[in-house]
Amino acid sequence: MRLQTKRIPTSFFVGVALAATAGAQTPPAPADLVGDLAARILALVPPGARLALTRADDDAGEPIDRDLASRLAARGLRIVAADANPAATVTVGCGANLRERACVADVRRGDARDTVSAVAPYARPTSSAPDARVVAIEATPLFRQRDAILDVAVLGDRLFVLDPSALTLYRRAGDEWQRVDSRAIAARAPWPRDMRGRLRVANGIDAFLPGVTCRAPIEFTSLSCADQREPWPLAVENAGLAGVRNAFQTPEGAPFFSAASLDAAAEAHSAIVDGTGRVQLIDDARKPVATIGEADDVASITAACGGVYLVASGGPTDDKAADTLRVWRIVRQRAAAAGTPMPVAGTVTALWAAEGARVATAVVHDSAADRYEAFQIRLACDR
Amino acid sequence: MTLRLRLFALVAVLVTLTVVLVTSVVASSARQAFATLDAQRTAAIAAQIRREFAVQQDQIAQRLERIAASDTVQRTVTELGRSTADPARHVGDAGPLAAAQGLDFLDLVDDRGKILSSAQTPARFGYRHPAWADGGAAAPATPAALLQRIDLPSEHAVGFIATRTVTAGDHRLYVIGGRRLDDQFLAALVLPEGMRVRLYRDGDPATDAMRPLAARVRQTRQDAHERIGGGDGVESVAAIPLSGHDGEVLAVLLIASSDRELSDLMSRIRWTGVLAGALGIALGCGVSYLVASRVTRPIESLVDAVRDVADGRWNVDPPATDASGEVGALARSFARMTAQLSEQRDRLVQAERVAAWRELARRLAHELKNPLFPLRITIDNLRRAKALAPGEFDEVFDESLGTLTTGLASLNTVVARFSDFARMPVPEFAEVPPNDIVRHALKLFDAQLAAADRPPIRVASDLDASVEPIEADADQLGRALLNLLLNAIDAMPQGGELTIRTRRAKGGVRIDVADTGEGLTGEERARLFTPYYTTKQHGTGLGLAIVQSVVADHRGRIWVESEPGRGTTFHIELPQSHETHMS
Amino acid sequence: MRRFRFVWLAIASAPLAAAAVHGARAQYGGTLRVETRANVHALDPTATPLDRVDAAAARRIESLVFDTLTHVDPAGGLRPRLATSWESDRGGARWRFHLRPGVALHDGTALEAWQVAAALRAVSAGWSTSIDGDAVLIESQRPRPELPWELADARFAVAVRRSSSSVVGTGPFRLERIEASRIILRAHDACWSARPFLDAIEIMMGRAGAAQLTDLESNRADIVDVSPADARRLTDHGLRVITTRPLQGYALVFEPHKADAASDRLREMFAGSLDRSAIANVLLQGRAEPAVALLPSWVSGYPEAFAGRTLTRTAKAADRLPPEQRTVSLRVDSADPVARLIGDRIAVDAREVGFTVTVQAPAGLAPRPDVRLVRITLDANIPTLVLARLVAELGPRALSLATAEQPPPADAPLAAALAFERALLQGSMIVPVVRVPDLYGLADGVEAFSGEPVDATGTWNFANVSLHAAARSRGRP
Repeated sequence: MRLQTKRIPTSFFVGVALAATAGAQTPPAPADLVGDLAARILALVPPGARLALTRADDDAGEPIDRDLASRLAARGLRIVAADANPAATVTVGCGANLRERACVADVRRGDARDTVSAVAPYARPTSSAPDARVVAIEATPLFRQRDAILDVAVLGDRLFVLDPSALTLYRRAGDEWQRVDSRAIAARAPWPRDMRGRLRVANGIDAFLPGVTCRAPIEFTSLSCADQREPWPLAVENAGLAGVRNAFQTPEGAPFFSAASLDAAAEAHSAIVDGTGRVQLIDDARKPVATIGEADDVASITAACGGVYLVASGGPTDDKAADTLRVWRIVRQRAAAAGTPMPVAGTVTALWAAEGARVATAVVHDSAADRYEAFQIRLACDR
Repeated sequence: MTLRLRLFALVAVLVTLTVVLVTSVVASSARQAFATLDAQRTAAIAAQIRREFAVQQDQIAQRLERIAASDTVQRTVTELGRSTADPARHVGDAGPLAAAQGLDFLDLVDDRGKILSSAQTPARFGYRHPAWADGGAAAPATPAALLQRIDLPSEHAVGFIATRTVTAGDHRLYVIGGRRLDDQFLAALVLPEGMRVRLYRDGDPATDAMRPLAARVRQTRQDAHERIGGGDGVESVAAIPLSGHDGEVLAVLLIASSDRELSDLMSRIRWTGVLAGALGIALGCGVSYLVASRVTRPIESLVDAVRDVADGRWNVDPPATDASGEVGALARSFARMTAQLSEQRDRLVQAERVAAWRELARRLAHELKNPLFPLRITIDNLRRAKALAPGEFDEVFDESLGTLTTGLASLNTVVARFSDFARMPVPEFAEVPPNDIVRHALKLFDAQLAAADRPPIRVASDLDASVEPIEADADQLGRALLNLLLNAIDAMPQGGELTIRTRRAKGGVRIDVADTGEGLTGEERARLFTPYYTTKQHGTGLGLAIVQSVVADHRGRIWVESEPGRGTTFHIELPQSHETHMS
Repeated sequence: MRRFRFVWLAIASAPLAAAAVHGARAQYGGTLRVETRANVHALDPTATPLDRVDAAAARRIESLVFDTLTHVDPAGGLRPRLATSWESDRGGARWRFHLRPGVALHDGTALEAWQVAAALRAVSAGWSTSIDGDAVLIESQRPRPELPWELADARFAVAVRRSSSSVVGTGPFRLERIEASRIILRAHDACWSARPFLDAIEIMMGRAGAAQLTDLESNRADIVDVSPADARRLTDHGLRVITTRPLQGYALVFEPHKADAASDRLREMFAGSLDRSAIANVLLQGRAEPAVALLPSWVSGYPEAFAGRTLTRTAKAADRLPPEQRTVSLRVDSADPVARLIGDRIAVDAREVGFTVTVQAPAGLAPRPDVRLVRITLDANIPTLVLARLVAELGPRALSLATAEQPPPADAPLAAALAFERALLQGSMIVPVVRVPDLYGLADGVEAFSGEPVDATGTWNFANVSLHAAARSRGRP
């Protein structure tokens, strides 16, 4: 897709601020380092001692790392506030350099000061191939219509299109899709403004809508909808969308708008778009481990040459400007651009991909042409 | 001081006083006139400067208006009102704005008093502007450009500063700018010849003579006027304090008017006075000379003549005898007096000569009488012995022959001495050390002085080893010393002390022979060197005459100091070369 | 559907770039015109120009011509390059690097192991080299567990010497010629990492900043050096600016006569007067970051607050010093415009707390200053190696005045590196101020197929740069 290019001014300051913010607010100690760090601290502080635990960048009262505190407490140390006359004060800071992830602890006992560190070197690359692996986004138009498209699903020569009012079946006839059948979706309450919907086609057809779940057999002979809120098929456990909301919630109650699973190289479980629009990497415990940017939606696609890539959609502040699709490769909790961003002719209203899938579905609203268009997104490897 | 000099001095003093008086009066008048002119010019320049200040202030106000109305400033104040305002975008705004409007200073200040951008100190962004230094909520309103101090990193500058406020909604931006007030600003002024204007600011490294005046004006805050000397001459300096809006003196305007013209005029007046004085003095010299010569020359001639007479030159020409008046009468009297004196001297000399011949004849008669008496007795004895037997006659004859021979020898000696004195040999000069001659002479008396049968005489010789050899006839000089030593010894029959001393004298040597004998009276001293004059029972009386003659041949001089009972000292001075005189 | 209004941002760990978008595939051909302030007169990894700016530029260019055995990934970790794998025995005193097969030199001949060994021997940082088949053995007397990291340094790039004046490499570009103010590189068709898109690179040297900007804006240059103060101008005009991680640091280094105990308070107060945030965010237009430590956290792995400290700024603090200590002379490099900007602001900050500061920027002789603002280079490598290079750059005298400790060996634990950095900064003899990135302005039509034209660690990724059609038509130099 080629669009009229538009120079989008960047604001390095904001980027640095975010990066600095991300760096300043160093995330809690990575789980694999906490144990080692705790052991080293315990070697310096006798059991039963009163210990104050602070962070190196803690000026505004950020919460200390609970995991480290619990480990130290479990080994007999009493964790107290910094102004409670502790016998020792431990200041912890974590980060990563080019060789390893690290956590450093400054242990002060009276006039004595010791510094301990726990590091986890990065795994040595196993492949001897050149590390230049570049993917390119291939967007294949699937379907377009004037009414809003929430999601589409292709099953052989059949195409299911979910819109706010109905689920419609099309069958391929040459280069076009021919409508076969359409089943209305009844909803008691008005749909939310930011309407979202998801299709899952497996043994049957499931349509997930805000507060409504519809099901149809694979033959699409019927469609039954119920006013019930079910978890949507996302990379992160969720309770579905509430009727008048457009955000999901984790079991812990944290809101997110989109989620995508990641592979082992990422050293994170998945990526979510949180309630403020930031793309965060979360671990198995759904705790944030890194912030890598901002987006509207994210989806993960397995590239043809292997490796899971994160595709994200989003755009500048001007509503009239076009969105772009970008591809990141997440490795060791860091994101690296893996291809040229691709502009789309409008705003991306939906971006869905099944876990482990090699394709994702993107729906773009071209307000100028007053239509919605669904694309199949693939990642091609050029090297 | 001679009369001529006195007259000359009197005339000179009169002329000088007159010239000085006139010169002073003229100079004073000239000075007053210049002072008046200088004050007028200074006032005119001060007025010109004030007008120039007013023009500058207007220009600054206009340029600030343009800056405040510019797109850059308008955009800045609008952007500052946004929540996403980024002050960093504007940190470089002030420089180009100031350059475009020709301002030296320009600060853009936000409504909290923080500097957004500064043209003169770009690094001061973020700091409170000095106008808000007291914590005031807003800058003082200065629609007109006022004189202010501006603190820069390397100096304290003074300039005209104005403020404009730009408003956008609830937000304000203050535009504070102006131009520097320095010597360059003053360079644009048109000044009369000989005048210059300087601006002295606190901290200026001026080390010239104007600095104390400027410092005083800063303290008193009042105008002052002073004459200050410098390398280029004296200047008349008017100092005017320039105060800021709070009354503090920020700079001092120094208007200097060169006194060169006045100095030149004064110099001309002075030189004219000097020339007039010199001319007057010269004229006075001439007049006084003419006047004095008619009066003082005869008197000076008289004085010279008196001096010549006092020196013994009696054959002086009578001076100014043909002069008129008292001077002529005085000269003629002097001439008569000198003639009479000369006549009397001649008579005296003749009488002395006669007396000397009489003395010489008496002495000679006395000397001759002594040996002649035994000769006469012996002849008488021979006559009487003729009557004796031949054997007795032979005895008497032999004895008489011996006595006659001895007597004749004595007569011969007297004659020889006389002959010697009359015909002293020409000295043969050679380089001789005087000390050696003295030692040799002393040695000759060693035996005599050591004789046990005479009262002891202690000899003290004090010979200066630095005495240089002189041209002398050693024999004659030795004889002269011998005579002196002999006289000294003879003067101490009861013993005493004989002292002989040599010393360097100017151009020669001095030999002193002193004894502790009875001394000489005045008459004896006067006749000491007269031939055949002696105070001794024996002796020819020629010794000292010979000494005097030897000394005279050596071009020296001899004199004696003596008082009865105090001994006698003979002083001889001899020149190094016999061709020079001892004076 | 857009849910938020936000600015589309790049990834924090990657350099930012505007989302200039061309959906077409990368195109082959064209000559990339690069301009730089530096002057490089020879490309030889074993030689280092005296001027730091020139030395850094030489390394950048050499990375296009010569390859190292290993390479530091800007995202972290060590990547294979000419060596595909490596292992050590005996505690790191003996290393074996397996060479990549089929690597061709620029003159068409195959790279052989003995050539690699000879090239490394020429640098000879205390080791001996030999070969074992297609592997290169490196032995040293003392264990060097971090040798692979050391070999990632551009000094150890493999340069095969053909003659006293001719060296060839294996990089994506070969050196065609070096002129007084220009270097021409030509694509290496048989490059082991694939032929670059570009046909050639023309590097104009010794260009002043203003001239570079003009050339960029008038489309006479494709990539130019940009100073922090000028970057906003480019972005305001719609041009792209690439920013690396902060790779240059500025620090105050006090002179020996201010190292005594009597000057302890002076140094502390002077260091405390710094307003780093204003320098980084305003003066340098947000293109710099405040620095309280010598190593940024992406190099050290620990927060800066561990190594350095932010001293409290107190108004009129210097009034507590004896009068003779309140006057400080600060020297900055007259040839470095960024240093002059920073120096002026440091002087203003110090004056606000009561110091009298004179800033020297002499071109020739000048009186001895009390403190200097020096520029230090940060390598993309492990903390101990970066510290060692940094200390060497500061000089043994500065090191001995700051601390009695010696830099930790390369294989020392992270805590040792932290302890040493802390010791360096303890007495305020060395006071970090800010760090600035390398900035490059990009013309239209310059695209990177992978990553950015200049990666986060400053490496010129020109092998992956392609030119858009309009720029391509300019043809060969």
